[in-house]
Amino acid sequence: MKKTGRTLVLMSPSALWLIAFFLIPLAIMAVYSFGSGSFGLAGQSFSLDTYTKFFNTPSFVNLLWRSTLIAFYTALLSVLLAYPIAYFLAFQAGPWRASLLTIIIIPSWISYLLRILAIKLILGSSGLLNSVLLGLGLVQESLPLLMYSRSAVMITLVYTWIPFAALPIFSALERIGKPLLEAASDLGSPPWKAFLRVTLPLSLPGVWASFFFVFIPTLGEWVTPALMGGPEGVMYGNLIQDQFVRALNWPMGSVMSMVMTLLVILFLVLLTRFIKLSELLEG
Amino acid sequence: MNQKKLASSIGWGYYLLITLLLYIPIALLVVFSFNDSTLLTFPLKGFTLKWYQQLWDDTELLRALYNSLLVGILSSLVATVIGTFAAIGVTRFRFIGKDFFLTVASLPLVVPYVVLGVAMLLLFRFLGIELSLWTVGIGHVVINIPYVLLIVAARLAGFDARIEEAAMDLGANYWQTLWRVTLPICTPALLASFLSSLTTSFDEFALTFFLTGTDNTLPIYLYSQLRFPTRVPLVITLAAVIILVTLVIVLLQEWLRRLDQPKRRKGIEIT
Amino acid sequence: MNEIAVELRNVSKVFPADTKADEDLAAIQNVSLQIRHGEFFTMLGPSGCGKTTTLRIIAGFETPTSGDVFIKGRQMNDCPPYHRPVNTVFQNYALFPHLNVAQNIAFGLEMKHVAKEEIEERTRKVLKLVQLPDLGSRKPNQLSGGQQQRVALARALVNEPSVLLLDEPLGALDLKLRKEMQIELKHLQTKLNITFIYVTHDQEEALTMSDRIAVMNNGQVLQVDSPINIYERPTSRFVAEFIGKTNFLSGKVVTGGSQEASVMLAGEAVALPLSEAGLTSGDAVTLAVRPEKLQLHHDVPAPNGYRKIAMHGQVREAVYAGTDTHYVVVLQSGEELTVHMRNTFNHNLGEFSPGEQVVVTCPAEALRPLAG
Repeated sequence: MKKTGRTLVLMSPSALWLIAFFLIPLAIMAVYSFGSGSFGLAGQSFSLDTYTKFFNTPSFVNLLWRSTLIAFYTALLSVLLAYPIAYFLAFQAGPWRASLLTIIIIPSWISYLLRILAIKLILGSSGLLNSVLLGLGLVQESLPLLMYSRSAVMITLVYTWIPFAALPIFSALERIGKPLLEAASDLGSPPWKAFLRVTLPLSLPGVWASFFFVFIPTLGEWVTPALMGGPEGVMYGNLIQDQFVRALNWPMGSVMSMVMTLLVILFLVLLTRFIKLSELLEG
Repeated sequence: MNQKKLASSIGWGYYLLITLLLYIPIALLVVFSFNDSTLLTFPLKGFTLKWYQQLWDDTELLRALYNSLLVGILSSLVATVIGTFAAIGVTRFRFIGKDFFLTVASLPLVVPYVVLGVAMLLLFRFLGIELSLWTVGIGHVVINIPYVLLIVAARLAGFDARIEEAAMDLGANYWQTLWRVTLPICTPALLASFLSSLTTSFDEFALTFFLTGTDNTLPIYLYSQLRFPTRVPLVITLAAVIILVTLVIVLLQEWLRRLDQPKRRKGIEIT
Repeated sequence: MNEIAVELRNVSKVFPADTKADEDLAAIQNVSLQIRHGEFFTMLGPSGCGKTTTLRIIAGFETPTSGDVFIKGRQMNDCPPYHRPVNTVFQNYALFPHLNVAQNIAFGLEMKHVAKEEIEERTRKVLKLVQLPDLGSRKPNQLSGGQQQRVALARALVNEPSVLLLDEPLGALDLKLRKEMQIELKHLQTKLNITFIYVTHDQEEALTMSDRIAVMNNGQVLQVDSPINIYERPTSRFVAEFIGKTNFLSGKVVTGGSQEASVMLAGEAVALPLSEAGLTSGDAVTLAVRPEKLQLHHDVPAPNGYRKIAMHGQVREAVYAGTDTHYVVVLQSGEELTVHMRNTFNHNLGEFSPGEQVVVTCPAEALRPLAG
């Protein structure tokens, strides 16, 4: 049939690319993680040894747990700080909302690495902030301030995520529209009550989307910890990266990656639950 | 009414605060790239273009820039072409496995790049493929497909499929219709996809790190220079250049997006 | 000319369900039509009746699930739209937004590799035909709705198709423009002698423009006939109700016959020329009669040579409607009749008031027996 031919031609390039360079690699990683640990692919037999080793290493598991917490708090903070922006753009910005949204998104398009560099240069011990403080005589010696710590990592992450976190919330709020709020006020509801009982619940799908959209990628974050975390701010992603670059323990690296992937899948499934529930609540 | 005004002021205030915080670091980078000093302190020492000159003379850096452009342009072309085809397939046709495809095609958006990097590294290792700019480019195509799909599918959904039927009614077969009607109408979306892929590829580091061979892209080069304090001014200057180039590309994207808005006339919307 | 331009033989189209929970949609069932060359043929029916699907099958955008499509005598089931000698005018015009008017019109000719000079010449001619001679370089979004509609028409006509398909082309226009375009389209069709296959849900449009009308409902063709016959001699309840207003009376056949039958109607035995119906004694029959065929009198009028039926009843409502007065009369049998009486010097306004006893008459031929 003609239509099948066309569909095949249109879909196969992307489908094949994704299978070859996305699905198959993930499958290889999965298979390799269950291997007996030798370097090559040949001569492997099924074995849970590396997994056992992983779960029996407290520092590994702890780091996974800590990273999950960091990702959680990062996502939480990002959403909380982004919500007022989204609200402002949706209800208070008037006709300029499109431009104002663009303005706030632009920095995110500028190299991530560079922005971290900029923050380092500003907050570092020989950096800008300290030289200003020293120059003004407010401090006797330079403060290490927020560099090389877990907080530094989280603050930097939240800082970079806020614009992205605002987007799904903004979409959800825009869909609510003024007429609904006017109806609420017409029925006697003061603004703060209208917010709590109408706006907030209706914006929840956007909030959930925003939360998970920050949470899930942050689980595997390693660049920010590498630049800003120091020994205290190491995250799980650095551990994985280390296995491949320094320790050259590829089997362990794969196992770690698999554990992370399974965690991601778990949270993705959770996400679909949350979004569906909220839409159900909307009726 | 006063309550409303107060809330509005708070809203504006918060927005301006966040915007300021977002732009100050970037602005400072640009400012210091013109500063005649190797230290990052105030007051500014004097205007100079010497860092830009040094940048221009740094062959290693220029090589990395060239590599980034090469990888960026090629991978963006591939991503735009195959992503556009898929977008057409997804919006105009029904077929089994469509939902599955859409799910898989959206996954690169959420999967942590470290996982992706590891998985692709294993693939290339076991296939005996050496890491190089090619492997980097392949990875960049993977992460850009979702964006292209999104942008082009949105444009396609916005215009009436009857236009394609009209073309076929007038004698064009399916591929002629795509070439003479569908794709021309989508041109702004195609350009926007290309530019989006280009900016993503140009900045990409987290994934690229795992897939790079002996040739560096610009972010990789940048990362390697961060340990050397004497190189800091150069790095800052490089950063300023990248910022300005990215800004130009982003503004271009925005202009294209505005161009794409459907026009209205006497209640009949032409899309 | 009596040759058949388009023929559908037992065409059915089923749309498979999207999900397992939905049912397949049988859009059209067993449709057979013969459309003659040079005819203005309209498919008329409510939304969802299958008229647009039928049109799309003729155009080639849908393939029949069963049955055959013939255009100019050749079977076209598997023929794609770009190889068929038909052109379509779409409901929302579907003009190419990235091309100007002249380029839109030239599109079909370019596909056929017509020489550039000829394209220019034919484009000029067709723009003149649709009365848009100077708009060649404008883009569609710079035109009004009426102008876009003409461009869509021109774009189709320039290819000199033997059959033109029109899918509710006037739906988006305001009333005055629509009426003007109806006249223009009819003139155009007569002048060019092309077969027009027209789809609409507007019965007045169908009645004024068509040579023949196919009334459709629920995927089936109920009646194919000239406008007069569709209106005056509907063969089913749906057609009678869909076109204009109708009254329905139930009666019982007392004696059947080939020329005439005696029917018990509204409490009175009435002799009706029901030769077409073939009714037998004891049958229940529904009779349809148009409100404008009924007349009110204060008393039973004297017979004047025409076969007339007279029924007694009481006026329940009288509504002034400009050209007519609409009465609702309740008969002795309990049935209600709507009567439209023209407001003339003979019939004075307010002549019959609510509560008054009246006699309702109509010619015997005005009572149409219906199936279903």
